[in-house]
Amino acid sequence: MHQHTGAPCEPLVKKGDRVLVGQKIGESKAYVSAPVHSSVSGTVVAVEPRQHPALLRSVASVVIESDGAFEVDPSVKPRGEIDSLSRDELRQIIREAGIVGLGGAAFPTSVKVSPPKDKKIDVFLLNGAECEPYLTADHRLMVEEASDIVHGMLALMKAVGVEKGIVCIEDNKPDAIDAMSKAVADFPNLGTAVVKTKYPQGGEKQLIKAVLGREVPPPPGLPMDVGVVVNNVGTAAAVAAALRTGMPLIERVVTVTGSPVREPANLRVRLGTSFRELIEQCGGLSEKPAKIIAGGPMMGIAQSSDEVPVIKGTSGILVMSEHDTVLDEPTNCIRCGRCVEACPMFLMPLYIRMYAEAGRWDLAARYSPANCMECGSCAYECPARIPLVQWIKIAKAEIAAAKGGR
Amino acid sequence: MAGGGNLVVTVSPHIKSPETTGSIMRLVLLGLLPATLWACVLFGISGIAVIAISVITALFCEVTWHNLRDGKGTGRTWFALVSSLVVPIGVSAAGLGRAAPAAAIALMSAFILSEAGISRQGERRHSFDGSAAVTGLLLALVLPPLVPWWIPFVGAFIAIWLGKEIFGGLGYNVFNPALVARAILVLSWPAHLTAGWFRSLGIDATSKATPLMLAKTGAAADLTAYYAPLLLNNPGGCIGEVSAFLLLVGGAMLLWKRVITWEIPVTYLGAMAVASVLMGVDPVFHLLAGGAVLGAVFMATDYVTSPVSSRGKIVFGIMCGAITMLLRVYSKAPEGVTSAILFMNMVTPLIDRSTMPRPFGVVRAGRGVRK
Repeated sequence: MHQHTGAPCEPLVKKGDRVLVGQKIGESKAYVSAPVHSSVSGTVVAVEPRQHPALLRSVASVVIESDGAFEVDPSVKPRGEIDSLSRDELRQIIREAGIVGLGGAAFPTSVKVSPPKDKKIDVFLLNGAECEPYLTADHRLMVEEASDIVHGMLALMKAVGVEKGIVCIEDNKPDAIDAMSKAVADFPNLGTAVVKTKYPQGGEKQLIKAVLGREVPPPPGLPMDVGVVVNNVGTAAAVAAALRTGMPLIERVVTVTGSPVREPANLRVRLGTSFRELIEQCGGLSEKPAKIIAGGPMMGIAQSSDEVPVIKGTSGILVMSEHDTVLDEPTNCIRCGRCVEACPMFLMPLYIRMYAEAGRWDLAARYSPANCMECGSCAYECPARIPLVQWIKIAKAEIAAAKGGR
Repeated sequence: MAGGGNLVVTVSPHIKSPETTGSIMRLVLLGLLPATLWACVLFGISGIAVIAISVITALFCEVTWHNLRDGKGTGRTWFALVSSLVVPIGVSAAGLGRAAPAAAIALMSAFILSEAGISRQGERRHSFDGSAAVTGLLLALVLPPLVPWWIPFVGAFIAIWLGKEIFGGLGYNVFNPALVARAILVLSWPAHLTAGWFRSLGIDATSKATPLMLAKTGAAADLTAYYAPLLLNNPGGCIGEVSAFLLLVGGAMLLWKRVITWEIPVTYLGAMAVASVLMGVDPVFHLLAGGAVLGAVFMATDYVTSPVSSRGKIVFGIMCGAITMLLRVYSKAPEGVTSAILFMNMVTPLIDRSTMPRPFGVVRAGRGVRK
């Protein structure tokens, strides 16, 4: 019931109810939220708290036992052509289909395509720069479903009210560049941009800087402050499905990979499927896993069990063997400056950590920890293995708390 | 299949760069290796002895300090410390002066090896990350090759204990430990530290002065005659000043391996060249002579005691170079690298604070730390 950034949903069904594919089973009145739909047909066997792969705590969940029939709910029907729909109708369709950003942050798309009137948006970027190393879901989607992506992109652009659209792809994916260039060729207002392959190129702010040379101001600054709205290619494909067939967001592409996985693959899976089933589908594991991660290696979240469900924001499942797992204890900071060099937000992680460790939040605040997007580049580089991101997160929370209490 | 338990849950990121403090220190040692080996060849046993005593004593100081600090093996550590002081003195008193350094090396090595074995079995220890070896080697390289054996011995204690550990250990020291030791040794035993230059290879065999001293006193008329020896086989100077060329080779390797960045070496040497021209002295000679290359490539680039940002490093390098030349030309001493770097070490925190990078998306008018 909580698969997005924003307010959680209230369950609309109860134990014993029969549900159909695409039927809405959870909803919230809040503006920043997205409804949840059943991905199978069957019977609700429980409405209870279950372990959540991103929040790492139990969250109200609807447990459905599939009857294997995949009977589709009568509410699922084509919504018509983009031209025949108004901006508000499009936004409503996106909202009702429960679509959220599929890059990983899972921010409700309906909110994203509804910028306040005083923000002038002049460019729409479609993010095809894979958000993390190891993940290839967006790449496959661009190669295989380019026309759907473009269809969804046009719908999103109309919802935003923007003329110009650019598909952004990293330069190590020539086949995706090829497919997307062909797909946008018929539309004079659309184009593609090839960006350098590097992490974190798929970060919104990095992408905007790389393609348009614009810098989004620090939080609470948003891309719309520089006239840009960014959406992920998977999100566009989901919008296309919602228009063409009326099917809400009940499935997504998940990369299942890692050295112990026998047959790593990108799978299109129904939301709610357990990690364990996905791994089994990929031939199982060749050795005992040490870590199972929801997401990618840089920002993904380590799971305590494989009995957690795929949710809207699950872009990948990464299984790591003991050999892949680094468990070094942190040593002294040697001030090598690699974290400063690595930070895409141009921060000084070592100083944030130094003052955070000393509990000097006032001094830590001078180094703008709030700007950190937690990409993990600093901690990746750190030769002393210091968990810099966690120190920055702590500093952020403490500084925010101090401000709130004042 | 993994059912419930036995999965490791850690914070992200889940992959790490293979670089560690230890791997970086090993590369620095490798960068110093060409010049060090060449010095061993040129200076023979006297050079080798200074290097060996300095490195081994530095490791010994590191291990003993960590043991006593952590309360591990306190008894045996005190015993090793006392015996490594008393035994060589006793050997000397018995008239076997030449055996004293050998006795000290043997005692300290035995202790270091036994502790290394213990730490391998036990918990991870930081005494063997290579940083003490780097400090020890750097200290040896800024000493003349013919100093008495106890000079590097005392120097290593100063470098590791006073220069580093009392500040809180690796990463917390304000000044470059090897240069702290050199500065104190020069003040304490000036006679030993300003002589003992090696004289061999038939070049300037009677000189008891370094090229910098000769230039300072005006004794050397034609400085261009020193270019080639300074590059390849400097006859007079500290152990590490044996060949500017080999130091640059090691420095190039460190640049290539991204252990150091270009900013400090380039701006340091560049500022020296510019300052030389402005002061009307020979820039080529000054770049090659003395500890300029060693200082710019290996001392000023010490992570702990230099700024972390690119802009900060540029400021640091320029200031180091300018101060070095001011001291060389206007002070009584012929050389200024040690003092210049130590001075700039002191202001490193201020440089860091004043050269904070502009955070992404922040537009700011003035410089400095934002309120």
